[in-house]
Amino acid sequence: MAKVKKVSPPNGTRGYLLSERIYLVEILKGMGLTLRHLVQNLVTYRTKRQTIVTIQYPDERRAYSSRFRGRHRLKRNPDGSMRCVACKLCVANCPSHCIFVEAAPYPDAGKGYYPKRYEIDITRCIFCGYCVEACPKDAIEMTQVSELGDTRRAIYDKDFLLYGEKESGS
Amino acid sequence: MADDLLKKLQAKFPGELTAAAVFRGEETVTVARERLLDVARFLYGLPGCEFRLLEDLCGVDLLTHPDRRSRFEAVYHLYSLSGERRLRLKVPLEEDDATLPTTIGIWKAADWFEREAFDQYGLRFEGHPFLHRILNHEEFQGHPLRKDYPIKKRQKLTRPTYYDWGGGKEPTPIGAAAEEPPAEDAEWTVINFGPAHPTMHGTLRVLAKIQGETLLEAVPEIGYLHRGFEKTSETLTYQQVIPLTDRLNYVSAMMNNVGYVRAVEKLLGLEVPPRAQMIRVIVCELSRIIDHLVCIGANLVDLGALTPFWYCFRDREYVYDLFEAVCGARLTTSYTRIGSHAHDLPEGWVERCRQVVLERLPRSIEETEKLITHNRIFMDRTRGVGVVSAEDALNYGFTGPCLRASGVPFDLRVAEPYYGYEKFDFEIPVGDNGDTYDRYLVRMEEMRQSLRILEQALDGIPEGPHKVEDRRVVLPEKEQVYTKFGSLVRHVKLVVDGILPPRGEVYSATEAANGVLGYYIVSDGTKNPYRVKVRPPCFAIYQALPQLTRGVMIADLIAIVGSLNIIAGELDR
Amino acid sequence: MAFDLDTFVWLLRNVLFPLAVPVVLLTGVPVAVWLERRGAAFMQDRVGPNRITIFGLRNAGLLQPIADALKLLIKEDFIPARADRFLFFLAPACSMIPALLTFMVIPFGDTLAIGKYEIPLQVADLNAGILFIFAVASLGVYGVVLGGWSPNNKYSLLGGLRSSAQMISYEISMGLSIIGVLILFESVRLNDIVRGQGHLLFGFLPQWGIVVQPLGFLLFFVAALAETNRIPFDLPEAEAEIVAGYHLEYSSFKFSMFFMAEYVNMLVVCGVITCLFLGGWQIPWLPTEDLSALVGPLATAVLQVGVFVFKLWFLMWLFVWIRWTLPRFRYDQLMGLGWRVMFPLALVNLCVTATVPFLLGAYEKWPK
Repeated sequence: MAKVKKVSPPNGTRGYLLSERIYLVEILKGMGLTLRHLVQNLVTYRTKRQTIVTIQYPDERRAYSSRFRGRHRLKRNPDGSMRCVACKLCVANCPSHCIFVEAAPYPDAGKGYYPKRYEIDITRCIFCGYCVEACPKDAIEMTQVSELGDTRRAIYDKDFLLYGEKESGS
Repeated sequence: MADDLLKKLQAKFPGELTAAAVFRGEETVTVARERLLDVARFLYGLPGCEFRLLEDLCGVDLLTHPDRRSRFEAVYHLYSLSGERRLRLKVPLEEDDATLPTTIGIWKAADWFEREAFDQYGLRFEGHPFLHRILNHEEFQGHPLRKDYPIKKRQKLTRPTYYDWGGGKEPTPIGAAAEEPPAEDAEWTVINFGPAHPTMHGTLRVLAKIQGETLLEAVPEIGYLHRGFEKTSETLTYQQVIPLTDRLNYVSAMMNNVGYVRAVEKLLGLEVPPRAQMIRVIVCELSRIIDHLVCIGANLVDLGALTPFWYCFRDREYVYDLFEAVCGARLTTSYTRIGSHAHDLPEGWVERCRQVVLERLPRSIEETEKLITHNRIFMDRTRGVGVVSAEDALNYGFTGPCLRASGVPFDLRVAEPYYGYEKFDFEIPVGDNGDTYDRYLVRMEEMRQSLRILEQALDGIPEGPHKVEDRRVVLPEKEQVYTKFGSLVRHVKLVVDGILPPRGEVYSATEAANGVLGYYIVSDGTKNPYRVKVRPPCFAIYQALPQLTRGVMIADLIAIVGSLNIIAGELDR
Repeated sequence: MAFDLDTFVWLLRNVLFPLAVPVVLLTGVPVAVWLERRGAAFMQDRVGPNRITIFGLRNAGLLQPIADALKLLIKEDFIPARADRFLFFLAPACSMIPALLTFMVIPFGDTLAIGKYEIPLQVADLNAGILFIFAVASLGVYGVVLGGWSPNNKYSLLGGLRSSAQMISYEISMGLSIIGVLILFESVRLNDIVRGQGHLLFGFLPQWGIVVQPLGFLLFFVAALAETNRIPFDLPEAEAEIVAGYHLEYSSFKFSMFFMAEYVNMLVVCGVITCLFLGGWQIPWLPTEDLSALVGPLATAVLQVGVFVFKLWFLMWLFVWIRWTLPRFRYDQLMGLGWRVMFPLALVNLCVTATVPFLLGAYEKWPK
């Protein structure tokens, strides 16, 4: 059960302890803390027990988990064909309405449909992963590529999104 | 109890309450606008159950709703701390006559809420001292949240907004309080703490009328981050709104997700299984901690202590790594789904979380404590600065740490426990003075209490499903979708059609990091929510800024704004 | 004309030296910036600048200030439309020149006696010494005031106002706190004061200013923080409130002048503290004569300059350390501290220093 805990110092808004009144005591304690940080960081810099938390990008990179929602990728079947059947469930589920799909039937009748045009407007995408969640064919996934800076490409088209397994790492 | 309150109301106002209803455990009373003030005053002073807190006041446009009885409704959500209950008051209004009296005399919280209702719907509140637009630009034509507002209409809004301070000085932008003209020999000028300013966390603007270093009046202007969350959510399905809720209070995104999903589940009448509840408690408490770390770190940067900021943010990274492991994103998590979550907790996550909670997070709290809490320079800056009395705080609609710092021990986790909070052993920190120092202390202690809750939660996560067993709501497992036709059909139907809740309305509130985060959802039975109103905790808090900062120095304004933890994403939606 | 050692020495003393000292001082500014940024970073669990390389060597970020200076130089030099142009140009100069000038009277080594030549390691051995420093340093306030006034901007004006009030208030405490030192060493000339600190108290304790005037040191140090607008007294340039205050509207070279002037001021004030309180160029227990006998006059001079530099940079480190640990004062609290705490304390210090040793008869026994 929850109880109430009073946190204010006593004596209202004016009372100070002696150690607080004399600025120096607390100031020196604070300076001791920053000095300890400094010494620790200097001594362990570039060693295995480094206490500095900076990740020196681009020399070091963060390791992302397998669920990371990075750049999208359209997957292929083992025989090389696209898994996407242009069902447009990803289009329906996307909250930003940033996927555009145009379906076309395979030349051989009976093989189903494929996306003639599959475009993700990356300037609208919010990287929520709803397209991945919606896909019934496991045809789209989000990789761990997070470096998306590009001055020319605002729309990811089918060719850009269909890349090989080995290129999907960061 | 339900009948008791409604009976009392019926007894006091025989025949004048046009309707009283109970849906999903919430009581709604419809009142004609002529009797609104009387009913409100009666409820305010009802012995044993004083409705002192005006949680939310919004408008609803019932133009295309099948149950419509009037064009508009002004909806008041009242909460009574002593009676621990909530009540919804509705006032029906017609289109050509959408005026009603202001309740600002009873609850000062009504101030900005009424301005927003006016801005978005055109409801006029008679007697309001400053009924101007708040979220949209002054020059804006029309009322955007109305159902017949042309969405594609583009408006060019270029004129700077002006506010007339009186006294013959040049007009400068908006304010709310009426003021007496300055004394003959008083020299004052207006300085603009504009939306682009290091202190204004997010895009806040404060117009400060200063006399030397003393602040005579500080007038906040908001709306710079208004992105139309509520209007947009009316065009999306219930599930699609979840990523948008991330961007409300973006420093603790999980809490927004959980709050919204809880509201929809309430509408559907669903209860998630215990494991899901525990998962949600864990992520909410982690979010609470990181929210407080941001507030304290940023507040201290404004005060000149630049080092504790880094210590606080270093520890946030560990929590971000945990979030990223569980849902794939650090900030915009979109983790919850209606009735379930995006994924269950991964392998080893609980261990990692335990390590973070026990070893990493306490460090920043201790270090900040050592550097700052007893430092006289900090204490001089913050003690006695920005004092709010308990009564004023409640009247303004304060909730959360700002209210608790003023001495009111109100925490929804204790008053209306949800997701098993009643089983945890924790304390609510309460301050005495309501000044900035107390708000800081309350937040520090709340972080420690959250760590306590987390320890208990991590030790007791129940096994079991993390999804509700309801086929109309939860997507089937992917393996089933790939292989079984029936699951595929269900999957397609849920994705395209979404969830179809029953017609009705709910208000669900959780204790977010900043206070009571309420979601008011009106459903018309279709797959799109009819109305989603977010009750942002900092909206109510920020409207008290003029009172908090009257007569302080400029440096105090900075300290006060920092301590209120105003997140622009939540404030402006 | 044949090479004349006399002329050479004369040139060295009167031309090269006065030119070299400001240059060396200005090269201390990048080092100070480096110290600040790296020191801050290591205290905050991060790395600080470390990307500028020369021939592939990173040099721990020492070249970062050079890169910053280059960047500042090539930026657009922007003058606000309704600024007072003359004052706008004048303000950075008014900040920088007094800062450089004050360093001219600070001794960084004992007089170098080689053969028949005496080269004082001090640009100008004024008999007004300390008074010159205070007089010229107070001119630096003009730089801030003009910098606050000229851009015609409310934020700058606030910063300028705050700074001028602050600097004037703390100059009083600054001046009063060192009178104790002046009394004890019976001179206003800096070189005399430094030499006086070479003697030993009770036979073993170096008679440094900090030993005989601890309160004076504390007061002067705090006042120095206030004079140089460093946290906890950096209200005039409080970023959170008035977004850089009095140098808000300055860009490019003018801003870099303000920026450098701030660090030069810090160096100067650290130099003054070193001379008055930390024994200047004195190496404890090794006065000049003994050291010259050991290693020769030139090496002595080098060692003494080295010691001076070491003490100065230690004090600079203290400034940096304090900056990154403490929050800043509010305006009225700052003024309250200056007038209601430091001023009376300085007076008390002065009274005690003036009367107690006299009463104890210590002056006769005082080693000079």
